[in-house]
Amino acid sequence: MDNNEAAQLGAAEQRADDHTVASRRLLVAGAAGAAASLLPFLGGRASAASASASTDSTTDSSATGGSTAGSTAGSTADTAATTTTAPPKRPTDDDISLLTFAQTLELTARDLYDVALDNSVFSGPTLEAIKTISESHEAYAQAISGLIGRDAPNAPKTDLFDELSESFSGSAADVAAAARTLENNLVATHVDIVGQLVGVDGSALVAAMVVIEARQATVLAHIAGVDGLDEQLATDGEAIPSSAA
Amino acid sequence: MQNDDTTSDLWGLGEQSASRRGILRIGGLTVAIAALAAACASEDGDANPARVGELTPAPTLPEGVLTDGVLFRTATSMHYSVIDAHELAKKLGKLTAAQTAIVDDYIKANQDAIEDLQSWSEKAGSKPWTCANPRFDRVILKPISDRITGRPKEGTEETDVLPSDDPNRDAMAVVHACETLAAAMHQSLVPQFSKPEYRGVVIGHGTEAARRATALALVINADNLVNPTNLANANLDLPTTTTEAATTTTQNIAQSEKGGTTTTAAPTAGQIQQYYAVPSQFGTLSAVQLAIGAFGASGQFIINIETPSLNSFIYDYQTEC
Repeated sequence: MDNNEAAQLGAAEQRADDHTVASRRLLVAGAAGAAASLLPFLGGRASAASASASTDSTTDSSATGGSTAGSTAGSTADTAATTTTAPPKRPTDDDISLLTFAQTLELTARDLYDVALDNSVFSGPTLEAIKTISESHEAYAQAISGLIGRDAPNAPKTDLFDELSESFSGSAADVAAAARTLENNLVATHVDIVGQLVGVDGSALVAAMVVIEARQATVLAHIAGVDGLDEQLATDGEAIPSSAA
Repeated sequence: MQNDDTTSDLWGLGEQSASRRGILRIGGLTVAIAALAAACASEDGDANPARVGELTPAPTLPEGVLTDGVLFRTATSMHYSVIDAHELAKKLGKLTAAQTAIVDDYIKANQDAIEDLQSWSEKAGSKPWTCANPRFDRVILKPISDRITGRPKEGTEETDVLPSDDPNRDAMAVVHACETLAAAMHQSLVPQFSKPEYRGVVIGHGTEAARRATALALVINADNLVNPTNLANANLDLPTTTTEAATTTTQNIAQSEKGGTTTTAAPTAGQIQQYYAVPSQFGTLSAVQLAIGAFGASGQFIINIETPSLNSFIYDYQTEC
């Protein structure tokens, strides 16, 4: 190796060392640039996660409501407190008291119709109607039991049964007239109950019952020989007070 | 000889021939700078993007918010539509004097319901609705009218629509179907209201409509007291005296064993639709089936009348009838 070659080699090593330092600088600069560019992104992710969490909690709080609640939740995503007005689906404690009372009425009605059926005063289509109406009241009681579970009394109101049983022991026309009055009173009572129930499930169930009880009242008016349209459509029932239990 | 000239200066890349490492360096630096620039850029979009020619601005649809007032307005509109249907029955049905008296009573009852529901609309914070439901009149009443009066074929229809063989029968069926629908509508609105007080109001009107439908079913056929399916569920140990008609829809929340009942039984070919005073054990929310018009090879024309839903609600932004 002569001096010239040595000088060239030395210069080449020096340039190689300089290049290594430059490469490190490049890597450090690239990493710093990447980290800096990721900062806003990561910050955005963090705030998006918190926003998502608050939206989810808003949706959950309104999930028990009906369609009205759904629209409320959609328009008030950033004001979660307003969604608390959505009605609950399940019966509240006060609802259970009302539904318990309604079930005792339904079982009382079934027992009263059974008194009439035992006396065999009906025949043909009217017998079919009375039997079907009796079965319907039992079905209503069972549906209420399914809704409120172990709180259901599954027993009739004995005092109401004792008060009305005699009127269900007469002729077919007398029984039909008494049954019509009972159905009209049940309609008035259940409409009153729907106006008090807070839970949506209980309201929907009693509503499905009461529209048929109204029909049953009109059928019983027809069986009782009431021909006038106004009398058949009369809504002269009185709500049965729960204190009479 | 190596491909990359390690002796080159970093900032002298442009002076060297392209190498793999050089390209990687430039590419990495470019991506990092681009990411930094994109992250720091403003997120505001261009409000007036470039375009060619004139363009009509896209219409902005109003937001339909479902409130208690909207539900009351919708119920009001449906009672107006029921009155329209009753008037149509009087006009086309060749009703007897007794039948006309019944329908007039029903019109009066619906007017009373409208008055009450309008007052509740205001209490719920909405403006009272003062005319019929436009969708109901367009989608339901027009076809009903056509099937009673008859009309020439339209569009892809192969034959003319024949006039009804018994307009009186069809007119009474329309009145019955509309009162049944009103009862179902009020029942369907109950779980949609937010306040128990409002639910009590509408179900009261629902029971009154149910009574009217029942009374009319007895006028049409006094023997059809209860639906035969209900009889089967009642476990009667005696022969039935009512005629069972074919059912085509099922919805009854309490009768899974028998598959449920229908509010009205759709007839098959040659059968006339049967209406029952007590059509089911629970009030149903299924479509009210109305069979009307002249009998064809497959029986009468059947139209399903649904209770109001999102596309037929009368929202607060709807201000004109």
